[in-house]
Amino acid sequence: MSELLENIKWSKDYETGIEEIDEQHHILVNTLNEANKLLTTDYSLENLQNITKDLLSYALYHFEEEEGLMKEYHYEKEAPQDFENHMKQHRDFSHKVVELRDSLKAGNLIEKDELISFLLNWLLNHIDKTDKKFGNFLQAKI
Amino acid sequence: MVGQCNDKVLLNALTKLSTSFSTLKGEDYYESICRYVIENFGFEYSFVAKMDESASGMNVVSGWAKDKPMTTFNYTIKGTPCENAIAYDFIVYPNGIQKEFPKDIFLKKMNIEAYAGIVISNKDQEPIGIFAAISSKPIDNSKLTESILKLYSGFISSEMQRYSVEQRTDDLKSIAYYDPLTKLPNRLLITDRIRRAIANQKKDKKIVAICLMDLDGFKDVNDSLGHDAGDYVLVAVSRRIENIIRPEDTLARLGGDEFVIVLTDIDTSEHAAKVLQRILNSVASQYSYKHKLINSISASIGVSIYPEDDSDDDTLIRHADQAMYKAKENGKNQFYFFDTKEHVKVKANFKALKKIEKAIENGEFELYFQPKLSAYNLQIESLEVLSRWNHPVLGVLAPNEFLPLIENDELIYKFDEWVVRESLLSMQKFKKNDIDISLAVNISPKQFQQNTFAQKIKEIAADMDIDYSYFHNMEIEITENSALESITHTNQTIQELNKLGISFALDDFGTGYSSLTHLKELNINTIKIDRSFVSDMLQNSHDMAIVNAIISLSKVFQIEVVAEGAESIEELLMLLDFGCDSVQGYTIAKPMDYDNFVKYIKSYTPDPRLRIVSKNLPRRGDFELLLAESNHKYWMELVVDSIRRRNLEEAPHLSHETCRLGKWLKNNGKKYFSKLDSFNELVVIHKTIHKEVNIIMDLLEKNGYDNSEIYIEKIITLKDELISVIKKLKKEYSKDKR
Repeated sequence: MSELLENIKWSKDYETGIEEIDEQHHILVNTLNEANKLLTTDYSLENLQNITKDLLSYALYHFEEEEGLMKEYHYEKEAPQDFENHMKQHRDFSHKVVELRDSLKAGNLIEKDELISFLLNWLLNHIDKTDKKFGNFLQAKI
Repeated sequence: MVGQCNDKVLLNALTKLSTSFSTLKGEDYYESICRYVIENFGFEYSFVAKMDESASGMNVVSGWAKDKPMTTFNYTIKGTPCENAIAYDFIVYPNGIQKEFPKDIFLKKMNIEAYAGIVISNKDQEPIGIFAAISSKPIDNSKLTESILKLYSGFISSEMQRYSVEQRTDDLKSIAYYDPLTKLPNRLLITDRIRRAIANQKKDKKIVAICLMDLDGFKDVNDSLGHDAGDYVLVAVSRRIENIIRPEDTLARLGGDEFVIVLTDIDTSEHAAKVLQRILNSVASQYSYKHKLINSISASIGVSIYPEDDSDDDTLIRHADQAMYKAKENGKNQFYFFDTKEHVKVKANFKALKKIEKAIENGEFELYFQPKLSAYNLQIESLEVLSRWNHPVLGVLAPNEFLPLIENDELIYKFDEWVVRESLLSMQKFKKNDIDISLAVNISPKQFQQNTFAQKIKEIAADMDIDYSYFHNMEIEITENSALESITHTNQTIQELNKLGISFALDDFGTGYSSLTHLKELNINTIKIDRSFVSDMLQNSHDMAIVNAIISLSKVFQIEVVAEGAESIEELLMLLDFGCDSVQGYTIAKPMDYDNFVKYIKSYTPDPRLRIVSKNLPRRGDFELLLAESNHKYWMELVVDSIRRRNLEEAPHLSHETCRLGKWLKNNGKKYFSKLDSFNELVVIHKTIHKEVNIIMDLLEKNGYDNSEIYIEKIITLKDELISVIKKLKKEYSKDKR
């Protein structure tokens, strides 16, 4: 699995068309690649802590950005199902990261492949599907 | 006639000035005039000289000798015709000059016959130089000569004044833009060079590498061999690098041992890397200064690449500087490329920090309170202060979602101070509400390790005008790692704040570098067992042993012990039974905001199930049942899970006699529960379970996992039955007790 990941490159396919959001998605792709590289050469608690810390920070600024736009453009009112689904995915991401950090603290280190596949899944499911849906919604509005 | 002719000649001479000569300046301008004079008026030599500061010496700056430019030279005017030219402003000797100036060897040597010279003055009419024309033949037309010389002297004079100003400016510029030691461009000039390189890049579609180089080991050379040796190294380094880079590249010295190299006309960063490797090798090879060999010098280089890093000149240098520190960190004598991706991330993280700072200022944080149950009277006598971020967009965020981002940043000081202030305010409010409760406040390692921490607490209290008596209800929670950073500091701080009444708890106990020695050394009042042990202890006998051991340990050291993370009544009961002084966890109550906490505590009554820990009950047997039950549940779930994963090797075969429940049934169970109706029922179902499950496991292992769903269902049914029988037993037991 991780061999496959060597080549995760930002692709136009991931783009939502909203510059700020795409830029932040880009950061996640880089984080994924970096985590893959770093943990392959040095699988350590310190690296895992740094990576999950970056993910926490990511959750903070990125979700705020997206959810702020949702509010501004009344996503909840106009596409309640999509909105709910989207928000749930955000919360799940944050909870997962917090859970990872808690278990790191207790000495249970997450496997590299598990972390990478979590991020990859997020990339493929959330960014490529859910975010694009919202991107389309936004582009119709702007 | 002659007058008319002269006028024409003068007009030509003047025209020449405003046409061919006008584009020239300084020496070239004088030279052209001299040449014109030679070629048109029958002289052999003509020159322009500048008076030196002593006013007795002349420096010939430019001139024409017969058919070629004159080489410059210096002479003293004393006893030469030039002395008279200066004295009389203009003088002409149409012939026989050698007789007039017998001491002038030059005239004799050159076989000079005639001389015309005119002073060059500045605007204050002070002499600054001389313009002269000489010949080995007598001068025919002295009048014309005078006119020509006078005409040109005015122009030479103004050029000489203008040009010396320009040169002085150049000198100043050179001081301003060049490093006097290495003669390299300095900081001012390099930014200009970078700007130009960027502009050219846009045309050429090449890349520009901005490399910031800092010498490793330079300070040692300076310190051990003196500054002269240091200067020598700086110059040598400059020359070595100049020999490697190409003319279109720029090497500059920023100051100290810092240099900038701007590489242009390269296609890739690999290309730049090759050049830099050569530079590293060259800089790291040995130097010899006054017969002493210097081997300790190398270079660390940070590189930013334009346009990959699409920033301005200052930012590019700053980025290269950041990368240079990375190179130093990574072990010196190497280069490191500034990582734009990394930088984008750092920037984004920084933005997140700024948001948190703003949120503190905007009052988006709120204190939450989680009660702690006291083992002595089953009342709530203390609480832990937690924080929540009421994020305007993301909703309520728990500390583990934002604290990790700020705990290593200075922002944590601000946050901790906010927590302390708010906690003190809450204490005042609780008092007004007649709630007597003590508060445990979390302080970050970074804050606690400050030497000024104790002082800070006092200052906050003073600033808020808080009575010190409140401190008796205040406990500060620090983590083990934080406390152990400096035991001396920790003990001093604890001692100082203990005096005010504040007590201290060691948080997350068991996760860090826990050590008995440390516990003995620290003047801590309380330890808090980390939730990770508590949450697993019913399933994991190691964790239970740890919890038990920590509690026993605390008794030995006479330290209070608190357990956190009790999520079920079973865990709570067990912790109380083990001897915890107080317990905190969801099973008691979740953290609440102030208003809800007040409501909670006003209506608090202990959970009736807690009666189980009162002294007149056969507690041991009771707890063992709890433990045996959860152990059994865990085992059965493990079996089911292993079947699903088609890997039964992970699940142990257990016999009904050796498992924990089996042992209980034989011992304490029999002793305290056997008179109850469901006891026998439990014995039977327990035996059945072991028989059935072991058969299922054997079958599956032998025949493969087909039809495993049926078996899974069977096991789950058995498990449910077991649970319901135990429930029944407990019910009968509690009825019986009354």
